[in-house]
Amino acid sequence: MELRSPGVGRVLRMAVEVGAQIERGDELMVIESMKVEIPIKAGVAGHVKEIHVKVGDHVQRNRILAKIE
Amino acid sequence: MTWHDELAEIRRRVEIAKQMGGAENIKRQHDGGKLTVRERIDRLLDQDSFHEYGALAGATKYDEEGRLLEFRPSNFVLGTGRINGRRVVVGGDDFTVRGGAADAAIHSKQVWGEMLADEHRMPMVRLVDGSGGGGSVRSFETVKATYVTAMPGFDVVVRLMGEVPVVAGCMGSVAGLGAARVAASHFAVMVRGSSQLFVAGPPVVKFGVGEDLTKEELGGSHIHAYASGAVDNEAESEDDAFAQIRRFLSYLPQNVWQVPPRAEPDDDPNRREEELLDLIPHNRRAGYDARRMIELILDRDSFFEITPYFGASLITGFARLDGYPVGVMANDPYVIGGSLDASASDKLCKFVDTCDTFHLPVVNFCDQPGFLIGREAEITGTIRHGVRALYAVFQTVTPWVAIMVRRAFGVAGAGHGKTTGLNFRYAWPSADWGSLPLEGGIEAAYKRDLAASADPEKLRAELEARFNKIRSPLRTAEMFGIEEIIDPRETRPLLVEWVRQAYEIVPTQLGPRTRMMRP
Repeated sequence: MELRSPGVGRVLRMAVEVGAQIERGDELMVIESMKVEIPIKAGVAGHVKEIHVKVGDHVQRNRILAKIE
Repeated sequence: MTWHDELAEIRRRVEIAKQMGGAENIKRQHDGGKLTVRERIDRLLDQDSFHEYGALAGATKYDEEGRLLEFRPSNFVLGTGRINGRRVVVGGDDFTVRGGAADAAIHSKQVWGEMLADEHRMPMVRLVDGSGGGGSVRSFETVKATYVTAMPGFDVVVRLMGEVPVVAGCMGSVAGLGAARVAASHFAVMVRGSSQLFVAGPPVVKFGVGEDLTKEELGGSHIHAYASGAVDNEAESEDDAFAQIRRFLSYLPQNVWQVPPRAEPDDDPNRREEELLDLIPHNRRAGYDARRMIELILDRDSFFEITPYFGASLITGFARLDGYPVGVMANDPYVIGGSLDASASDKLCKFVDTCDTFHLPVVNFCDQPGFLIGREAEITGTIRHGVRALYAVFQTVTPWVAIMVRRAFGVAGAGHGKTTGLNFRYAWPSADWGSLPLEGGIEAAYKRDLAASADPEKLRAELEARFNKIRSPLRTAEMFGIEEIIDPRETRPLLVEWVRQAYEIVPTQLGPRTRMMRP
């Protein structure tokens, strides 16, 4: 499952690394948009297969942030 | 002499009409996971309330003696029926007859249905399938000529949106005129997986622009309920679509000459929810659940969200307060901080226009950081769409109240209500406002000082500390810049008081607006 950015912003912090086991609803990272911190949460349980961004990256809406398997 | 023979012939033809496109085509429709148009109408309407018009219309063949050899019913089924006891006009395309294309329709039937809704002032429900009565090159063969493209009866379609609720269900693969009939509505819903909408379908697209896509890739609900906003809601099944149509209509009057219908209140008007006390975090950068806030304040289970996924930074929907229907808007801090982008502005326009057209008072929960910023926001025309949204707010006549939940910044923030004249509102203690937020605003206003400073970080911190002291909404209230700051738990009782007054005003404002809305 792909996790995409809900809007334009900047990656503020990471909560997981590649390979981490996660439950549905776990926070993977936080994106800051319009000065509000937006938690990016897992829609499914699984493990983090790929992370496509790093802290400080500027992201556009719909950009793939991570993949969960 | 009686008329038995003639009546028997009428009954025979009506029975044939009920067979639609025949058993084989009906099976194909069912195999595709879809209901037939007559099943749809039955499930949408109150039981046994359908009264059909024009069942006798169709394509016929007679022998030389004038005996009927063949009767192929029109592929548009029309009539009136009841939804929650109130009459509506309903018209649906029959995909089992020539895919709903114009060459099998008697187009005046569609137009007559729209005129019936117009003149008898009833809601119009369109169940669109196939090309929705639109053209097919096969018609050229029948007519033996081409024709200048036209929209018969479109003047009525345009007028309807200013007079009666217009609702569309996109029930199958819908293209061209069918797609236009879906979009020309106050509320459009499509069924996930089994309905698609496009200007032109995959074969035409492949020929015209070289894109090779499936129907679902080109115009599934993931496109139109999320990215384009061409429809408002996505339904999980056809029955879910009918339930949503029924629910949408339950908040609206039959026409703009009537007051929206009050339901029997079933919630305590004085309910004070403790949860509201700490719903808004002290940390201005943290979000909160705006939908939870709406649930806590409006009548329990009364909120029906409209257009939930498109322009998602703005939440819009109908709800009830002490049984009275209201339009509700709230910014969602979890989507681009709740700011207004082009999509959210577009959504705001249509929603506010719909509320104003049908005299629904509006409750706006404002936490508006401003228009979305950045290059992408500029390219998508945020400022023009945003200004249109402000026009929509300023052109409203219907009663309006704003609850200043947190932020109100910039031009977009100024659109929380009609900020000229009496602008009725209440603020929460978490309110925070200005033409620019301090974060970012300090950088802009003190750019030179910060650049010249030996320790810009220290200077920025000092400036922030200085401004934070005057940031309290109490300072604004001292100047009567905000009329009242309330305990958030008091919001519901105060809004109930407001809505009761609003519904004293609504009957003085009935009739069409001078400026009729556009879809």
